[in-house]
Amino acid sequence: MALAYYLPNWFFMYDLILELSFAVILGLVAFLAFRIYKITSHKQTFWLGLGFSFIALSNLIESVLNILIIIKTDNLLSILNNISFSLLNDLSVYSHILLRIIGLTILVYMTFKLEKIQVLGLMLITSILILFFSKDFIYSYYLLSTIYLLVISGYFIKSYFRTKRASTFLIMLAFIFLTIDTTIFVLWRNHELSYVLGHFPELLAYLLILWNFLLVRKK
Amino acid sequence: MNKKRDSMEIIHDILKYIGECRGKAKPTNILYKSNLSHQMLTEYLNDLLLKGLIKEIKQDDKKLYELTPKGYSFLNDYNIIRKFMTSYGFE
Repeated sequence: MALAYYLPNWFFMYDLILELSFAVILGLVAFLAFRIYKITSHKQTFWLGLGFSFIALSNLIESVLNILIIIKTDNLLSILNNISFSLLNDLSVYSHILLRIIGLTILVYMTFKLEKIQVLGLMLITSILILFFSKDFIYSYYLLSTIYLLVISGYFIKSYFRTKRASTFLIMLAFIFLTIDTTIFVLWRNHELSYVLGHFPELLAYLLILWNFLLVRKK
Repeated sequence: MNKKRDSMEIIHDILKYIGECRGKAKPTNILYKSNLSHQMLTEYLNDLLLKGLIKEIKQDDKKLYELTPKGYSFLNDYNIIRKFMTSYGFE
């Protein structure tokens, strides 16, 4: 989650590659979830696919805008000369935050196993309004993400203790790592390395999601 | 003692039997093969019809069931579906 305000310069390129990889992994899982939904009409699978799609899109858009920032910095494209660096940066940050919060809200809704679309609408409006009226937009985003990830992790912890399956364990662990990632930022936001440190549990989380995806696809 | 089947396994068993019958699965035979009560089977069949996994056909005033392409997809991808559902706690 590259928020350039907190991102050390030397980490920019690594961040770009990681975010793109995360987008691809989530995109693959989302695609499979939609394919399964098409066959089974299982609602939770649809919400999982949609939630993951929004998060993948948030990573993808952020990466593309960051690539534009690099191109602009290198002054390779004259077409970008009129677009200010800060505008690109703001677009990258805000689109990432907005799409990711929408994705996480959908995943929280999925864990409730509800069939009331109004509840999801209310949750989305509330989440966006909290961010919009917050004095510290980025800190509120991380705090809200941590709360949502705690709820989602709780759901997967319960699922694991119900099924006791290795694959459920992988997904449970992945969401615990994602929660640790945002918690690091909430607790040590002023430390310049908190953003970099947060990427280690995040990378582990996405590797676990990828590992599970490959196990599922294995005949 | 056999492990209690979950709904995904029951759906799989019903579809598998209907698939084996190639469009000539009678409700009574499905009932016998699926090892369910009449009421339970009716609920499952209605659900499968609603989801478009099977379709009802009439032959000589008898009700028969056959698989739709979606039903065949379910059988083909059953292992993937099963593993995906389990890993995300959807069972």
